[in-house]
Amino acid sequence: MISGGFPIPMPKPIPAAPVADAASAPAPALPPPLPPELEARIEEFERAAPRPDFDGASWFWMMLLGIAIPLALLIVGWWA
Amino acid sequence: MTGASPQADESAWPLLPKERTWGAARLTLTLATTAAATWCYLIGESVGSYLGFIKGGLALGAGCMIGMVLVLLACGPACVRFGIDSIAATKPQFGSRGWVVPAALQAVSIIGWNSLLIIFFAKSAVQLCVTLGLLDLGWRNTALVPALTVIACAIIFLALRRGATGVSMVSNILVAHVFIGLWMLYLLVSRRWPELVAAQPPNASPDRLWNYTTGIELGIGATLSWWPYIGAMIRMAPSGRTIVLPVMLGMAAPVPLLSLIGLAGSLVLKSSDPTEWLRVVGGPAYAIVSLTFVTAANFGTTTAGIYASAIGLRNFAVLQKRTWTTLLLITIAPVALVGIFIPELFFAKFGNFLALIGVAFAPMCGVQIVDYFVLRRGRIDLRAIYVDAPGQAYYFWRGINPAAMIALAAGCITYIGLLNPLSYASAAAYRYLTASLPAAAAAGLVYFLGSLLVIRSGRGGYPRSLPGRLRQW
Repeated sequence: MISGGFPIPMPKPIPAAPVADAASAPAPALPPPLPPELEARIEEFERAAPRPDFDGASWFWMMLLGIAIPLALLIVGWWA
Repeated sequence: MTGASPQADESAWPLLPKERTWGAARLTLTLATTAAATWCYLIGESVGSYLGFIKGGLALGAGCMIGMVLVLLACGPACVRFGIDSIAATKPQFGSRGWVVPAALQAVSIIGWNSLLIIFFAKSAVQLCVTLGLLDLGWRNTALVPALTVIACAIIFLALRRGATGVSMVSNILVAHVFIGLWMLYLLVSRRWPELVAAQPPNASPDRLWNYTTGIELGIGATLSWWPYIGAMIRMAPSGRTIVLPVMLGMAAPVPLLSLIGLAGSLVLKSSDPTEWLRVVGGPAYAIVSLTFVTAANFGTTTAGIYASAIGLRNFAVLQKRTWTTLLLITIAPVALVGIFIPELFFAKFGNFLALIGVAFAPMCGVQIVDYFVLRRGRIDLRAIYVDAPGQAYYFWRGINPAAMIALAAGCITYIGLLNPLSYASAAAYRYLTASLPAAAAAGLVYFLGSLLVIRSGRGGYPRSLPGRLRQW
């Protein structure tokens, strides 16, 4: 925890590995850095708990308005 | 105020929950203003060719609601969870480069429709001036259409300089036209009810089921066309719960209701254009009201369309760092140029092309629904949506997911095999199935099967817990 002023042990620097011949073992290209504003936004989403899409009430209304009522309209319409 | 920083709602970046301040009422107003436009009369007139008033209205209403729920299931979850637009939401399926296909469909569809609507707007405005006595009848009026197009584009540009707030502001002013439209419908229904009920559709097939299915299909197709628009609007709302009723009631319901104007007009007065028949029903005063309605309706829809299109274009790397003003100019310029140089030619010819483009939205929905609910089980890697590099979840093969491309093509072929959108020639199965629903199902099935191969290759960032059995397939 950072709070409380507890000293955080800093990791020892890892000695750099010997560099191989760049031509024989090309390092995989790192993805290009994102704009700082976009990076901050993505990090905020990654830190937060996953956001739900639709809750139970949303599903109820979708099924009612998108399936049940249209089916009823179609049945009534066919016999109209 | 939206609460979003100007940079946020003018970009394709994810909107943070605290920036999404559109409540249900505001979203409903905006969606209703966006949905209500001249195309409602055209849809109503098309349905009126095959079905009577009551049967046609019910088939169209049912079709619109079915189509809307498909769009909502396809775009809604990713857009509302991460505050992204319709195009960004296609990257998990089409890949970190393959999304240009949906983006191209969006751009052509919205710019095409906006051009048509803005020409409608200009023609209605000229007609309104003639009716008010501000202009004489004459050939010079035709020359006013390009000038009015430019003025409309300039007003839209100025309104949209405020980003999504501009869309909401225009909607708050213009939403009254939806109620004017309902009043026009009341007039026609109350004064011509016996004729309406007795009217026979002029092009009805002897096959009752074919007529009925076509009414449903026209409704489904009409609301599927909202796929390019909807993401840019619902990303401004904070949760899934906030969007469902506004989308289903604010966007799906006004289209069939206002289409009844065109349906009734075409059946009784042989004209879907309310500016013509309201003069017959109520005299010049009513004609002025209806012309005002048409003018306002198309203006509101075009504003929302330009905004959605500009946000979609933001996904292109070369346009990410451009100013919002530049992006708006890029989006509005084609609309203005069409209105200035080729309004009549475009008006006459481009409708067919738009009908063909519209065929792709049902398969798109099928692919997205299967991807989100069946294959990914709701797990989306937001970072991978914005990073186009090997090793990222949505890089697939060179940034393209062939499964989605093949599925999209399979869905389009299924649609055209069942119903030719231009000639309405149909296969036998169409009368039982419609064309959009099988197209969405075929695309979803092909995508599912293709994705099994993608999952086996270890690409696509599909969740490890999901495929259990699928991974061993």
